[in-house]
Amino acid sequence: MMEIRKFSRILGLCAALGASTAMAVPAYAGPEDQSITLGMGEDFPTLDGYINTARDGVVITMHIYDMLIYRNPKTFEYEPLLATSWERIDDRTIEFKLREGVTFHDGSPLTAEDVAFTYNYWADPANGARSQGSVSWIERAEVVDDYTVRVIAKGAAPAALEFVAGSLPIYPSDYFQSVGPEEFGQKPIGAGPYKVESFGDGLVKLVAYEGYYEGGAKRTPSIKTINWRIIPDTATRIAEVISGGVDWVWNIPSDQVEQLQAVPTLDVALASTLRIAMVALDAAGRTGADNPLTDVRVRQAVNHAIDRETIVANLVGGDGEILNAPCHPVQFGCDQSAAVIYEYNPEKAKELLAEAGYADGFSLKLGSYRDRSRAEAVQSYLAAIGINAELEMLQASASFSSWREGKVGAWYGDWGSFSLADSSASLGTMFDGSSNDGARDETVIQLIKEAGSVMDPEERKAKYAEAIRIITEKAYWVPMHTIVMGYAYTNALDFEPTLDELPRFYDASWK
Amino acid sequence: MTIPALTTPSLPEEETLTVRLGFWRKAIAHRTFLFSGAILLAITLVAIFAPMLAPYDPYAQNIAMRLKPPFWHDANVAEHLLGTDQLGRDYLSRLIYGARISMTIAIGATLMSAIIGITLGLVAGYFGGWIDTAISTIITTRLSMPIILIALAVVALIGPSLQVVIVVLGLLLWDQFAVVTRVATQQVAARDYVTAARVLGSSLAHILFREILPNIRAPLMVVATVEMAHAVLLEAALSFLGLGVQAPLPSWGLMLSEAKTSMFFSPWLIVLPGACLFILALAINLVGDALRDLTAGGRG
Amino acid sequence: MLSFLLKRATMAVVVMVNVSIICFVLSNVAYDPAIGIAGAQATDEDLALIRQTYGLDRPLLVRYGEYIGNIAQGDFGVSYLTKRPVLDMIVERLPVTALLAILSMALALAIALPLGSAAALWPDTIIDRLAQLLAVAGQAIPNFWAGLLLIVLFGVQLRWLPISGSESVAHFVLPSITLGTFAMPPLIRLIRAGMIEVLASDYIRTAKAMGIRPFQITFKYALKNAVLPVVSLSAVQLGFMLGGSIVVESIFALNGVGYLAWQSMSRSDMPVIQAIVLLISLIYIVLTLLADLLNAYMDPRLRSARK
Repeated sequence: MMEIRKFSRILGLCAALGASTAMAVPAYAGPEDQSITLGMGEDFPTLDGYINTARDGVVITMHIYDMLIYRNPKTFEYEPLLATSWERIDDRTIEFKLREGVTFHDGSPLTAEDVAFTYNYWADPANGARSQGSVSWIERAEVVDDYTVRVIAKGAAPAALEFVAGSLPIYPSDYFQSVGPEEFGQKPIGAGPYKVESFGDGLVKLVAYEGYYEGGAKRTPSIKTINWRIIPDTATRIAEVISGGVDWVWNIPSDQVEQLQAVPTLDVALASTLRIAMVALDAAGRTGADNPLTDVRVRQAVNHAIDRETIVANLVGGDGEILNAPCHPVQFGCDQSAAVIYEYNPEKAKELLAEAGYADGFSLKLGSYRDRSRAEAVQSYLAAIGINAELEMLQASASFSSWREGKVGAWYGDWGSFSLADSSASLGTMFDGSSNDGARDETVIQLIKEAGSVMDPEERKAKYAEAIRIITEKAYWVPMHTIVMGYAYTNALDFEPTLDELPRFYDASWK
Repeated sequence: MTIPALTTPSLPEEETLTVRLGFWRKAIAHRTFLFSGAILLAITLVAIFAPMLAPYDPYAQNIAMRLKPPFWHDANVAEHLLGTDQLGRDYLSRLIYGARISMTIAIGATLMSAIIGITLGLVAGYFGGWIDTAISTIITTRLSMPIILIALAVVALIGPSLQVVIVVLGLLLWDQFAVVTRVATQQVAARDYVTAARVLGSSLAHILFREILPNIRAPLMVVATVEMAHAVLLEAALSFLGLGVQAPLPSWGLMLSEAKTSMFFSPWLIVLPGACLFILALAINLVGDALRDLTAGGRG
Repeated sequence: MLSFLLKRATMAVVVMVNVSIICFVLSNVAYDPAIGIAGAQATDEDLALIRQTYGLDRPLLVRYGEYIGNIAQGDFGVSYLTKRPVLDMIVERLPVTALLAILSMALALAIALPLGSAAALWPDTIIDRLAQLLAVAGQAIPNFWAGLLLIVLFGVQLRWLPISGSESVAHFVLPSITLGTFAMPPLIRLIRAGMIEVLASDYIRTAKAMGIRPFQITFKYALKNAVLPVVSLSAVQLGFMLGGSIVVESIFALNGVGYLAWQSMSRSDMPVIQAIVLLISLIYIVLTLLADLLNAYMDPRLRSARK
């Protein structure tokens, strides 16, 4: 009988598609009905904010859900959101006072019970939060009364508030438990400014939640409907924004953004971000115990081989800058002067390779995504010193997986630090011995751990500086450049990109 | 189940040397054949002599000189006739070397599939009976599976490279060779000279490859052209989807994929490699059509 | 007639079994399903445990039997990535691909039928030349290139048509042209050749001699007979187009089966890939079988024996 049901479903869908033929009206309006159509790049199978942690996922999470607190992208100060106040009771404990009268999209009230449940559930590694670094510091959360909750860390957790503000959305405990995590990811309920009307077929439809509370750090939306279209192909996204099929796109290569400036209906922006790009190298030998990259001289040679200056000047665009340390200069503890710097010098690179016994070069796999031109430029620089890099261009999440699983020797990827302005989110998650970490240097892992668990800022800075020195001295990465995010949107839209690379459509409005 | 054939073999009754001489006499008078043959020959020569013809190293990047337009554009720089790509590589040189890749794959994959398909077809057509049924089943199985999906899946599993693409396409494009050989063999096998050879005790290999194969050459040439064009376009599609020839090799399909995001403001980047693919596939197909015409003995 | 039916049906079943073996090898031998199920950070112990719990340590033949049994019950496996039943994922996207294939086929036929017939009626005229040119050019044009050019021209420059998505039939115009171009050439050739053959046949000549008007001859008698092989070819082409949709859907961001296949490739989601291959093959086998039966039914000469 299953088959018959499915078959009738197909027939129904065909009929529906046929019916839409009749009136070939433009699919979406715009300013007239306060709706916006977005062209987003990443496809996601779920709307669960703890699973859906790629960048587009983080963005949609902050529209559907609210966190306890909010970090202002301009001042980098924390502001009240679901919690009206908070204080550190001791090194390990933070107490949050919750806002009263907040409701989830189904109308049920948000209480301390929901917060404690959400934190406790995801703190358990067995429940599979995608980014364990965001939750692993939590020991437990306790309900004090209906509107007071305490979060207890496993040790000193200096960056705890960053995670509370950035990656810990609050779920309705009853609903989540009754439908289970899979179903929740398909039909989520949050307490954020938008609720999910439909999800599937490459489209997420969000509508403003009429019961959204006043007085929080997020503005009550001016745009009432968001058609979140998933268009993975960059060229198609560009085509759609030029033709007016969508109102807003991002992840556009900087040279195309400069060209799009000439289109009279469009505004463009090349905005700096907290995202850093690197060529991570397999120093730990995940692709093979004795692969050439386990030799420090080979890694230093790779550092000398790549002309980062030319890449930044021509292929990064905007205010993109060269990185020397494996973290973003804006982040706390990211002391660029602690880094050992490798200038562009292919001759020296060849000497180092010869010294290491690879005078004739060798082959490796280079994984990448986002920007094919940049990846091919690196491939070509490596070829110039005799390293034959097989380039593997994939979609973001697939490419990241191939690095984590040790399938590529070198990975020209990037890392957005969950938009957190603290080195614990960059250094702290890329050199912590986790699968992100291709170096697996015990000294560095120890330093990172200590820096993440002491409260004294000076001591933390010193530890990070030492980690940066070792990482660059041993050339575990080629720190490349900051990422400049390319936006293009209709000029009738009032929109401002932010440094934290989290577009806020509740803040946007039609002119 | 009927096996759909792209070409129906129509054999001249008893082909002899004089017929072959007649073929060339007719060929010289055949305008389509001359025209498309000349283009195909030219592309082949370009592929062979690429290192001499290309003005630059197709892999040499000069990022500061990127995205220069071709000669018909005002902003062209004289050193680069057809401009430069996203990394400042000379586009003309890359297009010239691209001919090499397309031709290598076309010839390699077609040869391989010809060997597989012709062998299967000869055996099925000559022996008939259950052998024929078994081979027909294999052919139908192959026909029922979507080529591009299988090719993509296999390449994704093994890992993409030029060699892998040739082998995968070679293993997939043999069906028409088998179909045509099988039918043609059935017709030829009944003829007197084959029976005579059998009676005289010639070896099986001799009968199949010396007596039968030369006599079904004409329809097989037509199939070969169809499959060559097919291989060229499939390689381009695989490379375009990222599961074919890999960077920095200048495959025309890969060049299209690399240029895709720049196509709105630098349209020549997709027009040129696409046009090269089109012209090559067109020339091969026209040669095939002309061959069909010339060998059909007045029909069609 | 009955033996003909039986023979065809047996062949279809054998071919289906062959295809299923290939799909099984693709998803269970060429790729280790334990790695797919365990995901990114699995250790060797994890893998061993998974092999045990999922019975992946049993002999291949047993596992193949189970695989066939599951498919017979409509269970095509579970996606490694989304953990959802593969069949559900495909069925959700089938309408988009089916509509694309049908519209492309309709478009190809709408051009090929009149053009092919006209070319046969007036051979060696400008119409015939045009038909042959279109057939040859359509065969040589890389369809992804055609798609990109259509986007640049009609989507971006002229802004006549939507570029991506599947919200309305207007969204299907550019993709259908792209895919239709790919299906059209063999149809034109076949219709032209078929019509020429039929027009030269005895009964048409008799009809002409009897003074029936040429228009009537063409449409009432000739076309009806020339259309038989077209039915077969259309079925075959429809099957090919499901495969061709992978390129077209990825260019036009159509959320169909082809796009799902392409996504699954880059993520090694083998259960999805094998199921798509299997289903497309099944569709092809069924379509060709139906076309054969239809042909046999309409053409009594085929009923008795096969040439």
